[in-house]
Amino acid sequence: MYAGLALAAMLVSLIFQLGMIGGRQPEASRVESKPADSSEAEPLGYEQASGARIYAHYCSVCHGETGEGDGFNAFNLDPRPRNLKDREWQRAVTDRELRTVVRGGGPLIQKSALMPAWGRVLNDRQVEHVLQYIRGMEGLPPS
Amino acid sequence: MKRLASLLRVQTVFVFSSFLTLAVLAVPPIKDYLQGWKSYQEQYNKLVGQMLRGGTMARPVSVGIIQTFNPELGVVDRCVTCHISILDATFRDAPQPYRTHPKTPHNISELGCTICHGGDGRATSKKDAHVGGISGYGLLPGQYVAASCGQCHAGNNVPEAYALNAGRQLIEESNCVACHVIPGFARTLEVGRAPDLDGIGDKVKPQWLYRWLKDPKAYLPRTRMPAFHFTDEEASTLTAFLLTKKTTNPALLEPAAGSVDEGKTIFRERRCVSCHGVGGRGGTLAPDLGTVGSKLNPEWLPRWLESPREVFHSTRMPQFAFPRSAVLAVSSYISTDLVDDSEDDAETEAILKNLPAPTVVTLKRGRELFEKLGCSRCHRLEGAQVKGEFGPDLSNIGSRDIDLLEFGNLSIRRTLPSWLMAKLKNPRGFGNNLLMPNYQFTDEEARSVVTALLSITSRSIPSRYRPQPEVKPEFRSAGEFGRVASKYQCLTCHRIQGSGGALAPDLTIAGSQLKPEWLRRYFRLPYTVRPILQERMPIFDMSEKEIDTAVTYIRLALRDDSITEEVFDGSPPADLIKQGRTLFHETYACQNCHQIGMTGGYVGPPLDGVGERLYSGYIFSWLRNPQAIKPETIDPNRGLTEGQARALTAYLLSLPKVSARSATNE
Repeated sequence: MYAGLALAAMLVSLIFQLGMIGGRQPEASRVESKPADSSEAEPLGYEQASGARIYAHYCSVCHGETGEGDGFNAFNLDPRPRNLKDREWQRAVTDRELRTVVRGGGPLIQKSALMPAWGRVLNDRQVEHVLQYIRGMEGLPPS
Repeated sequence: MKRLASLLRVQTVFVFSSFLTLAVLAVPPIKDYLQGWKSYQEQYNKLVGQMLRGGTMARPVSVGIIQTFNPELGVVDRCVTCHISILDATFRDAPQPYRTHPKTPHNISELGCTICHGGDGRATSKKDAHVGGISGYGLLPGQYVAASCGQCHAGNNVPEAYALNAGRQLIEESNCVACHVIPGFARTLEVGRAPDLDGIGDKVKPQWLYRWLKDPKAYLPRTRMPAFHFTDEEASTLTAFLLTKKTTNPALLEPAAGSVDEGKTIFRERRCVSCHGVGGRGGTLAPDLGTVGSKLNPEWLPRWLESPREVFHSTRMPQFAFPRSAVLAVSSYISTDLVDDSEDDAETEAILKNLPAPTVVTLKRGRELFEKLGCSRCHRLEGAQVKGEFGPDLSNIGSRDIDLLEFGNLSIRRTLPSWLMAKLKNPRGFGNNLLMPNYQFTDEEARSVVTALLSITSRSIPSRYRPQPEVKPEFRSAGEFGRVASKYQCLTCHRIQGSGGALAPDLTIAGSQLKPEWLRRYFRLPYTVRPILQERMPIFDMSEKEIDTAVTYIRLALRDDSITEEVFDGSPPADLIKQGRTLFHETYACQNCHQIGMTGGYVGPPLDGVGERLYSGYIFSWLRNPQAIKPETIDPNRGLTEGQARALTAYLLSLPKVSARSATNE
């Protein structure tokens, strides 16, 4: 009888241990992967959100709020500012070219001097962020 | 026979139980072998093997726990065990957990991961690390990551922590400390942010007050007053109570009898819309005046327009030198024209009918309501008791234990950020008898406030890691200039040495920037330097003595010694001007933002006759490094040499001066 009890105890402990191989399953889920509380679209990632602000402050006057080259100053310029949502252009231009033109101005990639050089105003990280934002512009809704 | 059978049984049991024991004892080593992180590392090594064929700097790791250890901060982060290649740029497009971490302002190897991202650093399985367990919370959702910056960085100007700054700003503007103790915010922000309520009975019409109490944003969408969701009865009682707060000085009221047309002209000429929008068009610094005629008692206006600070001593409205007739005319205009045409008269009648008479009982109930909801924490009212902070203490709110939070009947995720969001969007949603009013934040505003709150954690940060907070003493002007600045409330729109408003240019170095003669002319008749802007400096009709005081003070005190006044003795040489012209028009294409004559962009100010307005030394210093003078300017720093800057300055000085502008040019 005692043997039987001991056997039963071991079986039970074995079952428990096997069950725990997969790891504990804590119930309180403290992680939100998506914003559950608003019906808005998923907010931009960190780099893109930072880039969005830099873009709005420095670039949108000419390149427009949605990047289509229709900023309020655009109509004073000849040539007009680039439409950054142009798919063909996005495919053709490399990241290195983008970084060069943002940091060094239009003439560095044989474009108009109307595009200023921002390399002394934006640090490397900011250039990177605004680059990510511009790359993500294709997906943004039209103005 | 029986003995053999029993022996066999015992043996079977023995064999069976031996195997069982072995099995039980084998489980821990098997469990250890099947650890999740080991498989991640082996997968990584495979990935590196593939990439090595394509040439990469990544190398396989020997399988084992890797951790970042920082005893000062109490950081033991084993995240890098699975997230092996977060510092390796070649993994930018790799799947998680191998993906490169975005560039950050801080050294990840020094600070670890959990300081910014939350989660349980000591855990060795994905679930425990990400979801949390005994030793702490799970990961901070990505959209709130700026909250972690606030653990070390104080103030609302933390670089690249936009949501945090916005949230902290909102907390200040909304005066949350009126009811809650919040670490990092002064115990009492100035009372006077909201209007004094002494004398409100003379100022407003009863039906307006009732409607305002029911829904402030319906009248003034940009107000910071929250909605208290009063019942009709409560609103009526409170209105009746407040209407008894009349001034005892009869001289403060007089009938608004004047020509409406004249008033309209003066209103337009004096550019009231620079601060007070009308119907949403115009400035936003002061309340919109579109329907203010339906709000204000016409007899209250003349005194206000004549000398605002006598009526409400901490107002930011400047003192205009209106003659009596102008005051009466403008009051008539406002009371007659700027009214709400869509006001429902039947409703107004009903409101007025339902207003209780000011009996002792009503007044007592009104006072009770006023004090219970803490109105005195924002609005000064003589005789009303000011309670201490009566909302929950928000210390360590960012580390608040989930199990101590009341979720009520709401079906939201059981996480702290969700709870805070839900609370801010609907403060009384968690139960009955809650007192917090609804600030009607947009989703983005609410998220930023949640970010600011989540930054208040119980983690102790050694002072070595805390950046020195910038101590900005408030600029206080005294003496004659102080009187002028106080009368015209310059700091409402302009900033000097860190104090003041952001509507108009920063005047901290105006003495090194602007020529005194131009400044003098400007004070006499302000014109618009940048035609694209909506706001205009109002015409104050300052006396010559006041103008003299202001110009002298600016010229003597508001200076920057690194900026010389003039760069050239006499007029600059012609070839330098020519060089400057080339630089302006061809090399740097400055005309894309600045107008000269009738051509050019209108991002920056037009440059005709700029030498009349600005010191050439200022132009020179600005050209060398605009951001040094105005950090947020979008005039790019071209890295000009001294020679180039001198040439450009010479060219700009040579631009034809403009004769005195007429009013039609604006």
